[in-house]
Amino acid sequence: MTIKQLSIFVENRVGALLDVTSVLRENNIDMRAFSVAETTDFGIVRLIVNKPAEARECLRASGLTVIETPVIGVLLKDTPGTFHSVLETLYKAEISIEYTYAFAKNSGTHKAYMMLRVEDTERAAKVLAEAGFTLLVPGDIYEE
Amino acid sequence: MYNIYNPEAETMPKDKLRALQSERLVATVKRVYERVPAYKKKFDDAGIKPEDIRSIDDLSRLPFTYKQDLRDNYPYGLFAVPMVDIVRIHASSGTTGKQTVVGYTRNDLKIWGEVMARTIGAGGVTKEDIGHISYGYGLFTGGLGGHIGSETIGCATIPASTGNTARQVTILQDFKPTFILCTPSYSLTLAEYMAEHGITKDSLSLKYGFFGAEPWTRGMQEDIENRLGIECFDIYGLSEIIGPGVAYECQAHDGLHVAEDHFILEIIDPDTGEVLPDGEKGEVVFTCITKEALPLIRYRTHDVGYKIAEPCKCGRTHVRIGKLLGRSDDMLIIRGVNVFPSQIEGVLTTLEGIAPHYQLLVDRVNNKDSLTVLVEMTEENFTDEVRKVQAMAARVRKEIENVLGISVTVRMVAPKTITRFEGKAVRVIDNRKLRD
Repeated sequence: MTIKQLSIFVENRVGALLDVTSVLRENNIDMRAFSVAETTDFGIVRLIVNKPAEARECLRASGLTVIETPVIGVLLKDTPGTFHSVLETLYKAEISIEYTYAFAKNSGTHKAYMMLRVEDTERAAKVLAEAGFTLLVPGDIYEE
Repeated sequence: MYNIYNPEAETMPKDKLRALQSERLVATVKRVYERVPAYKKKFDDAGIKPEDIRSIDDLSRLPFTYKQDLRDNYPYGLFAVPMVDIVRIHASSGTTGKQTVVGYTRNDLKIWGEVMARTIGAGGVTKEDIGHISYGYGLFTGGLGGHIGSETIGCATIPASTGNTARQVTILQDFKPTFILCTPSYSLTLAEYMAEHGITKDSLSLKYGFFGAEPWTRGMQEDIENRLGIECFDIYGLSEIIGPGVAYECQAHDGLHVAEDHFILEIIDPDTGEVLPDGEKGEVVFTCITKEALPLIRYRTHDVGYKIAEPCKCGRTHVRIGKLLGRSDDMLIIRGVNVFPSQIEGVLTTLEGIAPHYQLLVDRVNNKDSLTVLVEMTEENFTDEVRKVQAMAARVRKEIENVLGISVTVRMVAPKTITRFEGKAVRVIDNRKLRD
């Protein structure tokens, strides 16, 4: 139930993000989600793409530092309090969250997901599924 | 058993060696006084006559020779033989001012071959071995110096020179050399190329590596040994003295033996010029006592090292220089503290998961020196959590500050952003110089 996210180390300088996006464009890779964590010196780009293995190889070949990180995608119903109950479920299971960001799947379907990076991915996926949440499966985004 | 190329010379009893040095020094002083006008003037100015120098005990009475003397007498003014006797010219890269030109007679080349054969022989190389010489061939003495030593031993010698890493790795795999000579940073470039292309060290036949021409640390040595599966030996030399072959590490790995029957070592206080007691750190000074073309007297190398006088386990009687700490020119003074780039490298190579590639940026902010250490972020130590990356930088900073005793900034940078040449790595960018 976990999704492969690519994490890329980028320096905090002009054009650093272009280094990433130009590689993806040249290799015809479709970006599904994009988020950046930034500090004064460096940033970490987090990407979900349609071809994770291929993307990792070409980003790496262009000289970037790339690793693969497992994350969970949870479908959020468009009603108040949904995200709260996701957090509550994880809190009760004593699973802490490293970071989270939003992700809209397929324009037109109006489905929103929250991507979650947690300390124990497998267990988090299990408790969320048991609590009745719909999780993204790899097949929704890329072919394995 | 310790491998010794020329046991008679290298294990000569101390008293006999000293007598030989005295005899050769006296003859050299007399020769340069008679044949090199610049030396005659230097000695006359210092009030020294050749006959005042009767043994090695009188060495410290002689004036020093500086790199500037070579520049002032550019290109051939310090040669002690007519040009017709010169068979080879080399020149230093000359990062500041004119390049330094050096010459060799046929006999000088023989000496060079001898001391370089001792150098690689000290690592265990015999004529059964195959040598891969990956120093630059050309005016730089590295390539042809390694070459002449390898051929003197009788090894099959591959003049690979520098550049084209892909081809170098193919040669290492296909020609099966058993030893390599290059700069330590280039050996890491080779190891990185191999790792990127899934080439394992087992596909090579390398057993030994001889590295020099830039300061490197014990930690970097271990890193190279692990990644290339070889035993590393530190070598030392400079073109003004002869090139590589002036001093070399033996299998005891505890300092570099100076080829004392050819070069006399002194360690001096760079400020006062006084000779320092054994074991004290100072500037390395050499006197050539067998060379014909360019026998420099008390040449100030600007390298920093110390003398180890105790006998070595290997049986060689020749004195050792303790691991060279860097060039006194490379020494940075940051907020009044002496900092050698090699100290920072020493810290990085002891930290697990940190790439040994680094660069130092020195600047002056609000009239205060600042030192920033750029460290490459590799895939092995990258985690996608900001706090872990920051914790890593903080750990590196703390370790460096412990060693240097001054505060520094550590910045993690993307791999390969640090300038890397196939020759020497650019380790220091001092922006203070631009703002004087």
